[in-house]
Amino acid sequence: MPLAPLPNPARVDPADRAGWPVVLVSMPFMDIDWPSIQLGLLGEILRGHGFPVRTLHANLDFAARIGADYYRQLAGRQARLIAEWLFSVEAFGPEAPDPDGRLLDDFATELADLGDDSRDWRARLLETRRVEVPAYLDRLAADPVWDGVKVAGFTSTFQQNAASFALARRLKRDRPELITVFGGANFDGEMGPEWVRAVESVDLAVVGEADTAFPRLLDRLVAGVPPTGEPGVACRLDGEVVTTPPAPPLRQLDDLPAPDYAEYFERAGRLGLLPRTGPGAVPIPFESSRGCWWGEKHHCTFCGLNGSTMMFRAKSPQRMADEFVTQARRYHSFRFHGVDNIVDMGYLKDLFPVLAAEGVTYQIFYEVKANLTRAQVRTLAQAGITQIQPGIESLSSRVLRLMRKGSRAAQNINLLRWAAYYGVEVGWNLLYGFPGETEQDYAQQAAVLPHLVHLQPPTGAGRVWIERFSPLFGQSPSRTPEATYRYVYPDTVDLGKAAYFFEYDLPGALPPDAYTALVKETAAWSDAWSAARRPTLTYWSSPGLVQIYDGRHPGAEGTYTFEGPLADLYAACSDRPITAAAVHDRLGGSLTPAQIREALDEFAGRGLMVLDESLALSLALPAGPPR
Amino acid sequence: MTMSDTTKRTTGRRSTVVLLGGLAAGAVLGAALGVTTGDAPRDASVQEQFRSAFTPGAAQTESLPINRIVVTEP
Ligand code: SF4
Repeated sequence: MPLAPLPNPARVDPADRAGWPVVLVSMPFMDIDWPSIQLGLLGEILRGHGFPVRTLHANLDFAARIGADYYRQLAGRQARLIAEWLFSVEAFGPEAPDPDGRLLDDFATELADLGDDSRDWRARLLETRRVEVPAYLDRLAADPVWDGVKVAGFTSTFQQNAASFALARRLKRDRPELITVFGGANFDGEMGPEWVRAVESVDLAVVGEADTAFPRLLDRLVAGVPPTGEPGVACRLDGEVVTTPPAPPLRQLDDLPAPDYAEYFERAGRLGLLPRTGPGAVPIPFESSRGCWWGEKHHCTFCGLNGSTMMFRAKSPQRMADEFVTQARRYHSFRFHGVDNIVDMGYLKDLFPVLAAEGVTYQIFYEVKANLTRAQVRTLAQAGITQIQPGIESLSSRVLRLMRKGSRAAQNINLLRWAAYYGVEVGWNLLYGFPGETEQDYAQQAAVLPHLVHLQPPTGAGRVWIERFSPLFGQSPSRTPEATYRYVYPDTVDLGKAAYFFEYDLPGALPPDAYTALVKETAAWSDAWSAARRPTLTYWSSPGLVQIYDGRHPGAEGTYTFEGPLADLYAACSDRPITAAAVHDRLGGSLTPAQIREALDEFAGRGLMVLDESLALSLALPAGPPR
Repeated sequence: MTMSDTTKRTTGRRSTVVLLGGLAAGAVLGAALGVTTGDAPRDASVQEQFRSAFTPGAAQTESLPINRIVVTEP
């Protein structure tokens, strides 16, 4: 496999690699409902080089031990490092900063909903920390899977560090000759070298993409060549950490193998963690691209994608079509989960129409850019893209400009409209807290929200997080690591280098009550959406006649009838946001500009349209089956 | 499907394109079929049409998918 374009200083006879068994492990709190793409992909890459590799979804064993629902609660709690804290004592022993559990008192209001109702939440968490975690680690470290293994590779993203350090500590204690290599998003940039410096159980780290760096590092180990100087590797040398910058990221993603998830299905099945309906309900992770074509030009201010990994690269449409077919057959699943940051717009022309034409019945999740047209949403829907995450983030064009999102509020709402129309589920949030925003920005958004209850609501509204590598991180004056890091990691860890989440301290912050109405209306929207009778706003149209049924608010239902140019005006603003001047042209001058302005205001006043600076957009969805 | 998609779906044979009320041409909607604009006089003020546009009442849910609205008086 042509994955090593750099000259390799370690001349290794491929047969020697057979004597270097590797185990790749994914620890809690990686999601348990689908396999790890990191393990699946790296495992296949190393096998391609001739290394004997086993993957180990050890997160599943922990979930089986403590209960899957409780595990999911902990894995989903990213705002505070409670999941990391559970493994902290086992990771750092006497150096762990909070052996007695002060965290549970200091953040009680945020944690009290955790647990499985069997007993007091504190008692449950303490039992997990003091009894279940050590028992789990003991059993895992004693597993025969480690016999004869030369290298343990840990992939760590979000709250996987402490559990990984804890297992590495036990493995190094029991098998001192074993080499531990860490990688993943938690080891990007200066974080990787700092973990190597501060955590004894970390022998080596791969910093950045591992597809090429990891097998090359293993070759050095096989050949007995020191790892110093290997691009993308951090190691200790005479008490110092030596880090060599990563090589340029991989360009030809078609060269990567399809990930192998067999071990996940075998283990999850054995542990009773597969859905009752069988493996067909497990989403298969896939990676059709890396980086972000938008962020290459305009890095959204809150986005923690690293500069070096921002470069956009995509697999060819043919390769992706083949990969879907291969993986569906292998794992008997029709569900796919794209880990891409943003969909390759070329697929809308070259891949999705093919999936639609072939009549495959996949259910695919993709992250997309929000300013998709109606025709593009239809193409996604026809290709089986049933869930999208479009990064809507705000319904204020001014705030969207502040975050450099590259979309307008009216475009965001239009996406929600056509997604609802074509039956595509949308995952999105409202973010606030951007330097330069005003109270008026939020008063205006809060006023629009009640008109949108016939569209999919956000999962919530919250203050933006400050993530390492984001432009906002650069604007943060103090860069104080998120408060709970200090309950997990010893003082010897320089969190300024190792942390990923930071406290919000941006200048010019609005008072919290500036967002109260927005948060309240967001909750009301969710309630309305989940009511027994889902809100609706539907229009029927014929040239010169529009009827709009407004069933958004119980008790205030009714029908609007518009005829002549007003009807045509409403229909003209339905496909996409449009300016008053364009409306004038479309109507052939049947209304004066002043009448158009007046009509748009009247429609907006009744919540039948939104006006977004120069743009107008009808809110109702066409009646009848999607076309 | 939009009207312009319809025109693209020809198979090499020149097809007759029917303009429904001028939709495809972007002309004044309604004019091509010579439809009148019903009871609303063309010179009625915009506000006036809005004032009389709303009929309160919940629709029968089952009537929604079909091409007619059934309005029940409150
Ligand atoms: S937030 Fe999304 S669109 Fe923006 S730079 Fe990051 S990945 Fe790209």
